[in-house]
Amino acid sequence: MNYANHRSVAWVFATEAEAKPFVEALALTKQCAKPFGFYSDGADLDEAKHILVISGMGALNASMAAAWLAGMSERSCVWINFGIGGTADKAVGALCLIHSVSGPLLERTFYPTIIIKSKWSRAGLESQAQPSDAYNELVFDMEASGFVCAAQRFVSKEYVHVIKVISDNAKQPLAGFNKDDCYALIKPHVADVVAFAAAVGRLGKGDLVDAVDVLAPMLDLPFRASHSQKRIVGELVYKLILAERWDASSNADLVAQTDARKAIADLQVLVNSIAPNFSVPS
Amino acid sequence: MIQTIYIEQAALDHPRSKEILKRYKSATVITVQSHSEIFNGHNQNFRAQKQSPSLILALKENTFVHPTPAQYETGGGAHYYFSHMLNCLYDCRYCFLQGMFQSAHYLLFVNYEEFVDEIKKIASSHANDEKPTWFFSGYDCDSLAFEPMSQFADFFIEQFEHIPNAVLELRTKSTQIRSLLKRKASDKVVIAASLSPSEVAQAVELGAPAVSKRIDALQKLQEQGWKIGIRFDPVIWHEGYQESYARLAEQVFSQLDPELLDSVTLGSFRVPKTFFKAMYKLYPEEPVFNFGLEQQDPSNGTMVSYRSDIETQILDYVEQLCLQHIQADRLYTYRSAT
Repeated sequence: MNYANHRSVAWVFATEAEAKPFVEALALTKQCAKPFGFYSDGADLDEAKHILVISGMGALNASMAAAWLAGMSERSCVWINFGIGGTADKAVGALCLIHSVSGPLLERTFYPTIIIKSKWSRAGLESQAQPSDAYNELVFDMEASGFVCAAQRFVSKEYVHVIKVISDNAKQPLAGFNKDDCYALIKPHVADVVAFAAAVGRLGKGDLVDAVDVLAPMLDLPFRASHSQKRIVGELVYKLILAERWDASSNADLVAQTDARKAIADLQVLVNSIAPNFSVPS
Repeated sequence: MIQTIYIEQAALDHPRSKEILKRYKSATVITVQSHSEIFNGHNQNFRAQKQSPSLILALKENTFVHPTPAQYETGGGAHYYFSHMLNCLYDCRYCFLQGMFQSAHYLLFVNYEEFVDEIKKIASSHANDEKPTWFFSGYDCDSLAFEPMSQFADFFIEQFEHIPNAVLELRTKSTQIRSLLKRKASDKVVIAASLSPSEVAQAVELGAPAVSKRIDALQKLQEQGWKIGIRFDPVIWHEGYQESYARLAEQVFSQLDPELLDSVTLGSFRVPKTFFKAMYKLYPEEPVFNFGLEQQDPSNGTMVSYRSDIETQILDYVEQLCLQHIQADRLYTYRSAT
C-alpha cells in the first residue's frame, strides 16, 4: 500500500566514498552491510524519508542493489543515482542532470522526464563496462544504465533521475583521485541535490494513494460482504466524503445495515443525488 | 516555458524545426531517433508531466487524416479530422487526452505540407459533393493555443484558400487570434470555440483563458467577418447548471450575432471506458469523475457518460436555451445513446 504523505527518496551510490556526504547530511544510520551497505533515517522503513544503498561498481551491481532496495520498503520512492563521472569538456566539480542514459543492461536509451527546473547543466550519459578516458560530449560512468534498468520498473520515469558530479575531463584525468577528493567534490552539492529530490517527490501526489484502498478496510461493516462488495461500499463512502455528505449519522445508517446489497443500494441512492458544486465562494 | 525539446533526427533539418528551435534558445535540445521513444512509452505519469511538458518535434508518417464518426457533423458534407499536434497547452479536467496518451508532452509534427497533400486528395474525392468536406482540427490539441510557435492556423488557412469544396474548422479555447485578425476573413474557415459557464471553466478548464475573454475574442473575429461556431461540449452537469448555462447563453448570444453563427453544437461528457479508467486514476478526487457518470451498455460502445436521465435533462435544457437564439437547422446535439 502506498502512503499519501510523501514519497521517500531511494539513493543508489556505487561507493561509500560517494555516499558519505549524503549519509552525514541526512543523518542516516547503517542498517546492514550485506548483501549491500544499506542506510536509512529510521528503523521503520515504511516511514523512512531516505533509504540508501551502496551497490558496488558496475551496471549489474547497481541494478541488483536498486532491485534489492525496492524490496526493502513498500513506499513509493523518488529514485536517484548520484556519483562521479567524466566527460570531455565540463569543468571538474560541475553538476550534471542527466537527460539520457544508455549502456549495459539497457535495450534502449532511457530518457528521464525532467520537470523540476534546476541550474545544473544537462548532459547525456553512457555507462561504460570499464573505466574510460576516451572522453566525448557524453558523461561516462559505470552504474547509471543498470540503475535505470531496475528503477523504472518501480516508478514512472518522472521519478527516476541520474545526477553526476564531474570528477575528470580531457584536461584533468582521474589519476590520483582519492576518497578525500571525492568527498570534497560532492559535499557542496548535497543540499541542492536533496532539495531537488524532495521537489521531484512532490510531483503528481494524486497517484500516491488509492483512497478507497485505505478507506475500505477502515469501515466497520457489521454485515458479511465479499471483497468486491467492500470495495464498492468504500468507493461510495469516498464519494460521499468528497461531497461532504458523510457524517456520524451516515455512518450510523451504514452500521445499522444487515445486508451488503441493501447497503450498497442505499449508498448509491445518496451518491446519485449529488451533483458537483462549482459555485465560486462569495 | 519549454525546458526540453526532443527532436527526431529526421526533423532536424526541416525549416519549421529550425524556426521553432530559434524561439527556445535556452531549452535543452535532445536528438532522438523516433518521437515514440519519448511519447509512446508506458510508465509515464501524465499528471506529473503536465506541470512542465517538453516539446517533441517530429515528422508525421502514415495516415494524416481520419474520418470522424458519422454523428459528429456540423452541417457540412463528409467529415474528417487531422492532428498536427498531440496534447494541449490547457489542462481541462474532463479532457480525454489524459486518458488516451501516456505522455503530456507536446508532440508537434512539423511536416504540415504532407497533411495538406492528403487533405487535397480527400477533398478532390468529394469534389462533386453537394456540401463542402469538413476538416476538423483541434481533436488532439487546441488549434490556436500554440499559434505563435507553430503558425499552424496561418499556414493551413492559406492552404485551404486553394482547396475547392473544403472547410477547415479550428476547434479552440484560445484567444491567440492575432494571426487571424491580420488577414482577410476566409469563408473556408470556421473558428469553433469551446465554451462552459465561467464557474465550470474556473474549476475544471485549468490554464484556459477566462470564458469572457474567449467570447471577446470571438466577437472581434466575427466583426471582422470570420465564421464562428459555438461548441457547448462537453455540457457539464453540476449544481445550478440551469442558471449557469442560462447566463452563458445570454452572454454568448448577446455579444455575438446569432444570425451570423455558422453552427452551435452540444455534447455531454463522454469518454471511452479505458480512457476514463486512466483519467480517474490520475484524478480520483475530481468531482466531475465521481458524480453522475455510468458505464454505458457495452453494445453502445463501452463509453462512460452521464446517466441517461442526466444527459437528457442537461442537453434538452441547453438545447432549449440555444433555440431561443438560433434556428434548429444550425443546432446539432450529440447524445450518447443511439
